[in-house]
Amino acid sequence: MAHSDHSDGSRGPDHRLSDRRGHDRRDRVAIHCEATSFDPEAARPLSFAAIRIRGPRILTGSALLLHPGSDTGLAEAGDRLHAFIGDRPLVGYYLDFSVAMAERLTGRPLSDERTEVSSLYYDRKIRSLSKQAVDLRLDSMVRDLDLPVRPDGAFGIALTAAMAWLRLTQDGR
Amino acid sequence: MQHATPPASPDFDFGRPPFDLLTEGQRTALAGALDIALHPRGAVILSREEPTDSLFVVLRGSVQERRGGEVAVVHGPSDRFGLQALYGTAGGDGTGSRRFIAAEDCVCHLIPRAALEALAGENPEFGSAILGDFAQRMRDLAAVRSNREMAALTMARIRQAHLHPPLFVDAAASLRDAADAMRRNRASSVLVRGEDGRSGILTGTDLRDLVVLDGRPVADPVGPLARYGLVTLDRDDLLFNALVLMTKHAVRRLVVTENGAIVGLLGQSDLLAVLSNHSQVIGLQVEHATDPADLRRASRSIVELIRTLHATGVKVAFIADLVTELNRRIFRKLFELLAPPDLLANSCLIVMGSEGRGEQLLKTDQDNGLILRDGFDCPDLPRIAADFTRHLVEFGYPPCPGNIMVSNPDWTRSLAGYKDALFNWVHRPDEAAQMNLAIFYDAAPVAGDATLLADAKNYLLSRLQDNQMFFTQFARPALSFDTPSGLFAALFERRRAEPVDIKKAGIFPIVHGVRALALERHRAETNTVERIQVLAELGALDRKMAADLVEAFTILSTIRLKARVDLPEEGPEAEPVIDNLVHPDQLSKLDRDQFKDCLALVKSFKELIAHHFRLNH
Repeated sequence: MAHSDHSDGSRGPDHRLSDRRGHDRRDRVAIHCEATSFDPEAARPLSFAAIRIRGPRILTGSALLLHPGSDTGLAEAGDRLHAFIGDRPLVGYYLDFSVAMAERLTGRPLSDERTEVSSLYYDRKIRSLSKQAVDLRLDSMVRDLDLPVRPDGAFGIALTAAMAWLRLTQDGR
Repeated sequence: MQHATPPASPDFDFGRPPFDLLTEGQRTALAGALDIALHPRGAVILSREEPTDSLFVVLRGSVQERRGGEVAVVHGPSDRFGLQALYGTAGGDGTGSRRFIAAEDCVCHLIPRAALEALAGENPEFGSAILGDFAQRMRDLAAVRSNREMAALTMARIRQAHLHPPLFVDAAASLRDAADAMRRNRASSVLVRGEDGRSGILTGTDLRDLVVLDGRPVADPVGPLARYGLVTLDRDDLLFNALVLMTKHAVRRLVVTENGAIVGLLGQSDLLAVLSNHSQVIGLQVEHATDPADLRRASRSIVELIRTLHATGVKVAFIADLVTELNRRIFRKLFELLAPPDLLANSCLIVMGSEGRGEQLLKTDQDNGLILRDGFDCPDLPRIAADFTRHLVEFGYPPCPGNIMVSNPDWTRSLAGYKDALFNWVHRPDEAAQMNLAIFYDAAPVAGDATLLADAKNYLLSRLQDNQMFFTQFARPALSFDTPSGLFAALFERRRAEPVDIKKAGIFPIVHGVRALALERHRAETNTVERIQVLAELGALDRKMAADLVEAFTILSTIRLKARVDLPEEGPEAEPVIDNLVHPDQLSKLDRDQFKDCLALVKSFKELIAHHFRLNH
């Protein structure tokens, strides 16, 4: 295959914590879980997507997509997900739910450094819109931020979260 | 992706050449290997300090490529960049300061180098399209296009036409033997095996002339009477090239070879059977014309011929050759019809500007003149000259707005008169003088005594000292029109999709820059491509620059022709309108890609000219 595999833990080429301009250069991981319900106690995971973010790049070529219990056993899916994420900071949309599902699957806690992109988006919009309600639906965010992506499925939503995170944190906005 | 999944990532544009060359499987592999990068407006995407590991393909937004401080190119959606960074300095030296800056918020697909090389290895056609240098890239794109637009008619090979088997006789055979062989084989010509191994031809017409008119004995051997120096083409050559050769040499049959050996004869009638609206027909109409009305008909059919040839994907350089040839024949024939024999013998009809360079594609403005032998006087000349111009206007050649026509006494004068004018143009240059000099330098003889023009040109070259000031003045117009580079940013914003004057922005800077370089070297060639080639041989132009210039010139001419002939036809008599405006948003992706590359090249050629002639001082 023509792509490389970055899923083997934390040995990325870029392990400095910040570059010379002081920017946080650590890899992050955008994750999303689709499940049978929105109750993290009762839901059964259908698919997990995890995508690394390195600098301005989203490493879609080496993303992880798992269907626990269908194409991958539950235990194996948990191990692979944990190996892929490690202790990296997390990014997502409706992230608490995805993290809860992931921790239940891996049986281990994930990094507590987490960024909910809808909050980032809210903070940005509230500055300009003041008293108006902010539309936090994912479709609306994609349109408003002009992101070339279809937020469908675990992979699509994780990718959307990654793009939104980059857009909202780049350029000091 | 680590698991086969329906890719939810943003769609990669596989319709864009060269990615359309990939197979389904290769597309899936590529889609799976792509990364995505987001850069905010103003961010440096690539610079010299950051070695790149990927080819960038713009998905959203636009990216400026800056060299030095200047914006050289703008890349919009589906454009790719970063390959030079990936594979060293394809652009030659001096590109070290190249940087890529996001002109607005950008999203790019990244093709990792490893993935790109794997695909290039699996699919050599794709590999050479993506890795080749500029000239190679141009050629591949052009080939893709002619594949698409190919019509059986003119892309047909000689192999597909009926060939007459070669009929050989020995040099020692008599004229009677030759005639007998022709009758037995129902052939209209024989090939003669010369003593020295060369082959010659003897046609039925030759026999008639030799025996009936000249009264030669039928027992004379054919050896010394045959015509050698055969016009030959390979069996795998295009039928269209056969057409060009027949037109050029005014012959009705060509000798066809394969691996150097003669395999047959291709007759004019065989071509006629293949090509209906065909230049030879027009050529015959011209030759047989007995009055200007006949010529008018022939001239009108040229426009239709161009449309047909262009629509069937014939290369623009061939079209230019053919049109040049036909136009010159029409001019010559018209002049011969109008001028008395003593005028013909004592004057030289010249065409100048693009006609002289052999680069006009449709009927462009008349730029013609007449050089008279010193001491020759023709009282009827003003009437003849006025008739000549009037007829050409009727034929559809618009009058020259600058009045550079034989009907203007300034352009119908004695050789001494021309020399006086040249002296003034060289030594008292103003804007009009510069222009006159430029178009006269491109002049080519059409009818009458060509040595008169050669004399005038030799005089011109002898008057040119190695005078830096003169050449600085002469070359300056090459920079007088802007070559847009922000065009594509504007284009993708749709709101500002402004048409580009392709002549001013692209073609004229090449033509005039090359003309100035050629004049500086005292070259006699008039055609731009020939000038570029000879300048490269002399070392006055870098070989790579020369090759790229020829490609760019051809492509710009093609786009220009396309812009003109694609205009709607308004009636059987409607002439295509002279329109140099190209609307980038109406170009196909392929054309737009090439157009962009060409304009970037024109820009760097202009820098070269500015530097060479010190136009910035």
